[in-house]
Amino acid sequence: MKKTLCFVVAALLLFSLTLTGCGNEKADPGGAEKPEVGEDTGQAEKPKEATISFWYTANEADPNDRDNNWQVENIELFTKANPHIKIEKTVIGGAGGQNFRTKLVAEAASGNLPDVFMTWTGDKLAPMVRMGAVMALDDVIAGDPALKEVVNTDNLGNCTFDSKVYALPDAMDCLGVFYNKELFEQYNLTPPKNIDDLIKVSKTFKENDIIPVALGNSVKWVTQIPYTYILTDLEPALFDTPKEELDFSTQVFKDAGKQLKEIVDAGVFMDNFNGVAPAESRAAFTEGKAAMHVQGTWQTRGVEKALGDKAGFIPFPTKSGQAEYMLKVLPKGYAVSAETKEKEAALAFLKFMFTEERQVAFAQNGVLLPTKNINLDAESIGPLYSEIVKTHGNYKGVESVQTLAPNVAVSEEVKSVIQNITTDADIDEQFNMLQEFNKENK
Amino acid sequence: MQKAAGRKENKVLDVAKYLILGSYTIAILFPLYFLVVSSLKNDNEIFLNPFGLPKNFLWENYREVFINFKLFINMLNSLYYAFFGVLLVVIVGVLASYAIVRMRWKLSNKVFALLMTGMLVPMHSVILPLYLSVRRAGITSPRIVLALIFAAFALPRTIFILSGFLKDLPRTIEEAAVIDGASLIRIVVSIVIPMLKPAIATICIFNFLTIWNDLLIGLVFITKDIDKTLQLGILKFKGDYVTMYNYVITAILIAIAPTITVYLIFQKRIISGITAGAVKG
Amino acid sequence: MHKLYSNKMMILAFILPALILFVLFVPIPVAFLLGTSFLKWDLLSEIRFNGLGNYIYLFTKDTYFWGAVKNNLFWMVGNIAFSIIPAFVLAIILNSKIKGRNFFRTVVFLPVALSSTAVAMIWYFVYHHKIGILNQIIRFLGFANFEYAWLMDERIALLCVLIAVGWQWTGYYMVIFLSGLTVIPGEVIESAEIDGANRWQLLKSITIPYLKPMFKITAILAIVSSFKGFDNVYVLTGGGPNRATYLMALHMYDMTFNRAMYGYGSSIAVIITILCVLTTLGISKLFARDSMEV
Repeated sequence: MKKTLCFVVAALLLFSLTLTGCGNEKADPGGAEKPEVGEDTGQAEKPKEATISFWYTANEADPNDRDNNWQVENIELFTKANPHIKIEKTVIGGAGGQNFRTKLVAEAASGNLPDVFMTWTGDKLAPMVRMGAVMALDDVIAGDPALKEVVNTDNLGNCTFDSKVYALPDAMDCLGVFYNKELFEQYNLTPPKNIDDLIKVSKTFKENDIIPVALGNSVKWVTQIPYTYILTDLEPALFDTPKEELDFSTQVFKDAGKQLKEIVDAGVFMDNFNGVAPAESRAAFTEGKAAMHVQGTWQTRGVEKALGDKAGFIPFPTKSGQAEYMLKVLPKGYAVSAETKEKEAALAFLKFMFTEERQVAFAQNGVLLPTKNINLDAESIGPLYSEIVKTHGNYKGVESVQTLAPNVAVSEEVKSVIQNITTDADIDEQFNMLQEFNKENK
Repeated sequence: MQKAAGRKENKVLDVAKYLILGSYTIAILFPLYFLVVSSLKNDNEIFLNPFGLPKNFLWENYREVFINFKLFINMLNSLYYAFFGVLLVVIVGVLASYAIVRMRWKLSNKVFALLMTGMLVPMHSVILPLYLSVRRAGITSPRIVLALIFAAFALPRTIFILSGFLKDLPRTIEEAAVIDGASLIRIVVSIVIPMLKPAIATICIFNFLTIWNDLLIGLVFITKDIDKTLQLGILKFKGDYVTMYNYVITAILIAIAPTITVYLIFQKRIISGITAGAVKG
Repeated sequence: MHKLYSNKMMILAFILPALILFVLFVPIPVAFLLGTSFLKWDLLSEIRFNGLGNYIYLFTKDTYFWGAVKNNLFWMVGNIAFSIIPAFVLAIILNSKIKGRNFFRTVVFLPVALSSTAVAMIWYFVYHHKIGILNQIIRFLGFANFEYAWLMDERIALLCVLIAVGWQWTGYYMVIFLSGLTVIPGEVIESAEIDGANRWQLLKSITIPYLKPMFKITAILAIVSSFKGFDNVYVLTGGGPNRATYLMALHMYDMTFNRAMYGYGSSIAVIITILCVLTTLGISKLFARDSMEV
């Protein structure tokens, strides 16, 4: 009896040891490394062999996924130019990046962040920065003139914490409405500027068996797009409020919700849109079955391939119709682990992504570059894309409403609530509940 | 009089029986037929000619899914986890069951009861804490941990089946071996295990299937594509942005083909594994 | 003999591996789960103690949780309706004199051997609004207007999922009923038949009472599996559309892994565990009370 008890207690102790992180089993890559200092023979040394781990999220099964296409090329070209460096990539797709974020957080928690990794910036990067797990890049940028030239400091807002830069933005995307110019012309309609127009043109389209707006919200976040536009129109100053003071139960949120519900009730969106996947809604639009499509410009390539110059892009209509703002988001970026054992190789790869050739290639995938001073040949990029590049500068930028949340838990709830108000849920109740959740989980 | 009416009633009842059985059979076999046929078509043909045989047998679909999308590796992974999980649980389970049933010690009943409580607890409840401790310990490769988790969960039922079987086996041969001076290990290896063969076969297959079919544990613990199980692998083809339907179907078939084969061969064992728990419990 | 079989070292050697494996991976994590459920933690920041806060929020303010509970109850009923009842009927039929019994048993049990993931993917195909089997059949029969996006309609999505689950698990329960049927002693039935009992009387007075333990087991299995329900729904609908098919286990998964609320997710897991344990013990007691003297 005593013996068994002793063993059980010992096992308990063992288990709790693993919990406290003692005996940390960080896999040590490469074993003993040659010291870098001390080679003062002056000859051109054979470059040290290095293997870096690189994580990013993409849908490998989607041939139109621009991140995947670009990164696969990046890795290929980089390893060709640097044969002594191997890149081990891990691609995690699915569910709006949630899976990726979860697994990345797990790696960070166990001190195993990949050498180079794609990451959501802003609040999602903050905890990792606070832990000291991410490398600050200010010196890197300052020390490399080519990189300094292209980094657009205007776009570093989400990547900066305590005045230091911890990531380089991946792409800028505008969220709004793609529309089919041909269909509009066919029915003598102009792209709507305000909600009343939107409802009017939707009626005409519906009478002719065309879906007015293809919106696939099975992923929950797409209804944020119209909502943010409506909210910004009502009170732009909201986005300057410090997060601790933000109260989701204030009337303006509810009013914006009610306006969105108005649009939903007018039958503007496709049937059962909360169950439709984004790919389906895009297909409905590209096959000419829908006149408009609410999404982000990362879809530009797919849209362009199907509709060429028949497609246009506008901000979502608001009550006032003064199209002052466009939803511009820089949600993701690339960062380097602070504990990387291959600092040179990791930084080399990061910089490679931001060279002009690679940025141009990225742009050709239909991406609005977060960088500056890149020369884009208008012919090599499509008509829709060049239109977007030209016009988006005319609008002030605003981030999506989920960025008003202080952390991941609350931002997910914001997405949920905005999806809920498009159903029969009580709008006031939903926002009150959101504020409760916000208070509870700040 | 009664007999004649009885016979007519018999016929109607018989027809009804076959009708019910028949419809159920169609409900099960038809989707499988559809899958097999569609896996060899492309998207358009699936839509235009859903129920007929494919015009061209697109065997490339299989190659695409198996090799290019690496489902082959996923299958090997599932095999790995299942094999080691089963190996572990059989070794540990046989020893434990023998100790509980044959050996004399005061706590045997209490220990048995403790192990049986394991059957009450769903896997969902331990995934979280195990995940947290595994992550905090910095264990990146999930392989060993996964095999251990599967084995641990399979243990209660395994011990239940094995001890049930053991109880009914006469001790005579073992007693004879003891008189001949055999050591305990010898007895277990040369006598007990052969006697337990049917029960061991049952739990092997039963546990193999359980591990092979697992989703949640793999979903939570496995990160890299290289480590993914087959079940996770086929999820690749169902996403927010995927529209290659014929690949989805091919992937499903690749996933179920091994299970169906194992099932058809070992049907009896699988079923007895289930009913053993039911009848004796 | 006794010495050999009472040797403490050997006993320990035999039983310890199982004990350690089990205790390390089952009871201890459950204890930790309980502990974690009193915390607020996102894995990266410091751990904050939250007392009963998680549970209070769960029971008073978490509308998603209660929505899930409602769905879990539907799931329970659905399981009984689409799995246990057909299983019982099929078992009775298969136990009578019919040809091809083995064939039918093989076929009906087949879906059980498939993984829930595979089954869900199969039914994703059945229900697919463009090239799904259901819609193709409807179109084939000429009712093109009745084509529907089955899984995208909040009102019937859950029903559709339950049918898929029933398709998979009926065989499982059927096999359990069958095993119970085969132990009914032939003489009892024969003597009843001689006494002039007809089919339905046989069913009522003999078969069903003999099957009581089977009913108990299938009830426990069905109810417990409804609390644990995850795989099928995760793959088929992900809990959607708009949480129409949301379940407790999905809520735990969402809160924990999508929102990094590990403490809160733990509290949900604790509730699920308690429900599973209570149900099993509760139904056992219920059936034990009226155990039949045979």
